[in-house]
Amino acid sequence: MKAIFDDRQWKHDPKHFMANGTVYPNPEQLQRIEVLHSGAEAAGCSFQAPADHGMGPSRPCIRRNISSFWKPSIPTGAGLRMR
Amino acid sequence: MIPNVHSDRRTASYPRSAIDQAGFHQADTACPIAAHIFESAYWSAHSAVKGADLLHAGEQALYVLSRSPGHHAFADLAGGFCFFNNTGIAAERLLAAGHRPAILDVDLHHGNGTQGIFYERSDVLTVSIHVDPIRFYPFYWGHAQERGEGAGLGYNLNLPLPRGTGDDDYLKTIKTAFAHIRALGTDVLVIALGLDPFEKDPLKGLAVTTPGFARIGEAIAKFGLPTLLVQEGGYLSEELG
Ligand SMILES: [Zn+2]
Repeated sequence: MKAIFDDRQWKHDPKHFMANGTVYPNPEQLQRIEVLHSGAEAAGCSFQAPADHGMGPSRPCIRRNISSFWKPSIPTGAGLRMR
Repeated sequence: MIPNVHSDRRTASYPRSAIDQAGFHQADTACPIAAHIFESAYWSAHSAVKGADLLHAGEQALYVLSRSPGHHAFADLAGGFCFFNNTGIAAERLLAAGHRPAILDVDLHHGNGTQGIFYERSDVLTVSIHVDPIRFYPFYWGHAQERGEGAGLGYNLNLPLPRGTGDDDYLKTIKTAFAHIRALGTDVLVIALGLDPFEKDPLKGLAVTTPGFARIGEAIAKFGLPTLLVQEGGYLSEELG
């Protein structure tokens, strides 16, 4: 089976999150990629990387400038305005 | 960044300060914003788009390792480790290519973001099988009576299961989901593939076994639609096959 993954998905490495008023280790860890990637390959998947289409394909599922503060360097007017 | 003030309505006014914009856009404290979140979420969404394109080009089944995951992300609200709604973005891509997509969410948790994005629409069917949210994340969404609104009425189906549900009842439920998906004319299937219904998952919500996952995989394959498997929650590898 063909499979898709981009190495830039490694970048986000969250350490903690909060629940019930307490700080816990974040379970959405980088190690998930290792486990899922190698598991998929063991099951016969061969990975390829996606092309960059800009924000266009995501825009139908994004309202307001939701992600502008996730990435301070995002160019102003990059299409993350209210639809 | 974890905000401490949240807006109660999407029609409330929009603030200028970053921390309060974060409060506007975060449903819970399980989606802290860190330096590289945009990049991971962006390429995760693009992986789903690539999967949709290959499905449209004629592939029968594809796996997308989307991480950050997506199904708790609304159009303007992150939540539960999710920032961009990858399955929603894939479904939009398939819709634009002329398909009639359905999203079937088999993660342990209800796909509330996906439901929210398509709740008033009939062009993308959303179905979710998950632990009854009455005392389980995401609490406010995922109940059986949420069936869509306006043009979307009847195009959202929630199939909540009691905690601890095992293979046989899970398989029966997925057949109910398939019957609905078939009846509404779906021609491509996007699966929000959470592996956290696994019996040994630390969250202990459902009790699907390894052979149970194999049976789910067989049921999906037998259903016969071109299928995009998009990773959501879960921490296990041996069930991917
Ligand atoms: Zn989950």
